[in-house]
Amino acid sequence: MHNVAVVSYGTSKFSKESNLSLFELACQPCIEILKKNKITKDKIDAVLFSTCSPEQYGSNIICEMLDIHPRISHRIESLCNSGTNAIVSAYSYISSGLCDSVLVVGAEKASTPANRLIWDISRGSFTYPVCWAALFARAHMRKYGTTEEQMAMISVMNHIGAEKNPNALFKHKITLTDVMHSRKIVEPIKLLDCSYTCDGSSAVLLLSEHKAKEATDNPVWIKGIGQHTVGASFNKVTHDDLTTNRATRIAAQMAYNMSDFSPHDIDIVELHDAFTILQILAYEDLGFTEKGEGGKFDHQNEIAINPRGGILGCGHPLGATGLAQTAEVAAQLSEKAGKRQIKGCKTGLVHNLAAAGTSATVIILGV
Amino acid sequence: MQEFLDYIRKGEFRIYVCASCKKKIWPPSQYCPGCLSKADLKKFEGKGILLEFTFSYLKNIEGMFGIVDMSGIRLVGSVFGRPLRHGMEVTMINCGINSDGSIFYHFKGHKV
Repeated sequence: MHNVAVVSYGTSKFSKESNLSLFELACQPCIEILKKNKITKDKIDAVLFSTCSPEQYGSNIICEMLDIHPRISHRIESLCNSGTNAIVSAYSYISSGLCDSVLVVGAEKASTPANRLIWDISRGSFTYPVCWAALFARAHMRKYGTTEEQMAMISVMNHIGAEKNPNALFKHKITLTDVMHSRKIVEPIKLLDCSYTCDGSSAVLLLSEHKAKEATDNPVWIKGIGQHTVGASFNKVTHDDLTTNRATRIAAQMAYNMSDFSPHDIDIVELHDAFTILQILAYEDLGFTEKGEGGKFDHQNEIAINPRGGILGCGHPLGATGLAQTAEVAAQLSEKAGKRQIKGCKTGLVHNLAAAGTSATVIILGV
Repeated sequence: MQEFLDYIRKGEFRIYVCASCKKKIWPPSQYCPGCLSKADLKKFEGKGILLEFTFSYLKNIEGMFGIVDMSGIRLVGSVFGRPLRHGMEVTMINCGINSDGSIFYHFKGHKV
């Protein structure tokens, strides 16, 4: 298997509603990459487009708009973890030797229909994601004593990160009181416990080892990948326990095994905080703390969590989120994260899940 | 799926059961995910256990709802009756299709 590096990346400003089309949005971070990188357009072997939009033939449209003529071009969709799915596919193309360079781009409009999985009738009338998140939160509170304040603090912390991120949707600090007094949505979840589906795009350029060494002196390597699919329905995902996510646990173990790293080796993580309770579950399922201790997990001196502001602070353009998470970890590991740079980080982890955690992806990167 | 929806419209909850291995298939499909045989739609006793519940303030779905385990299949519906408690027995009292096309399931808690 060939080694694969993240060599370049770009992310657009996330917004509630931009005046750009889905494909114009997608072009933005690609142009950023093409302008700042030594790789020319004729050297791109594949373009993969991550989106939940039903618009057809998007990857080829982006290729035409950017005058790129790759051998391989197609779309990848897996709801909220479309972006990391696309990276896994790109990794496979390169590690197998089929490609040397893959441009992976994700974009989404806030109007995406992908917020609700209509097929899953096990959710009945309660099709909004906040409904399943609230049931997870209730179960964790009942079983482990997790509090609404502990969940609210996650939103506060992630908004602090977003304040230093020029691309984040919510670039302002919020207080514990703000979260606790925000509008009730589904008990115990309030408005500021929820992420916001928005317009946005992000892209990463992956290269084979020999191309990466030509292109940069500081490649960031993909060290481990794990992915697991439990199914698609809420029926399926709840068969273990409402307080844990099996797909995340399995994906994390696969990624740790492949990379020979353990949770203790991770310096920085971008984890899937579409709701505050998901960050608490992720602390536990990724192995950063013991089961049931996620609400109390104080990580300040051990690991940097969601330095870009996470999904709560940045917004959630579904098909772009996994790419923006990966771009952030790559930026941090190559010490190019600007005002939010975490000093001395060598190993980072990306965690991205979809549809109540029916599937999850974990990617470990290192320098 | 269409046959399942036809019964739901009439307020009757049925479930596909594999003709070969007898596995209950949920969400509905005419093919068994276990042994890949064809499945038949069967009457289903609407009794279950309330695994978790909470309160929604969302427009059009305001009220108590929860996840119910009915003999191994799990679904989310409105839950009526007080007081509700985790692990209590519930019965499906109604089901149907909302004006937006989503399906509703109504449960009622048993008095202890």
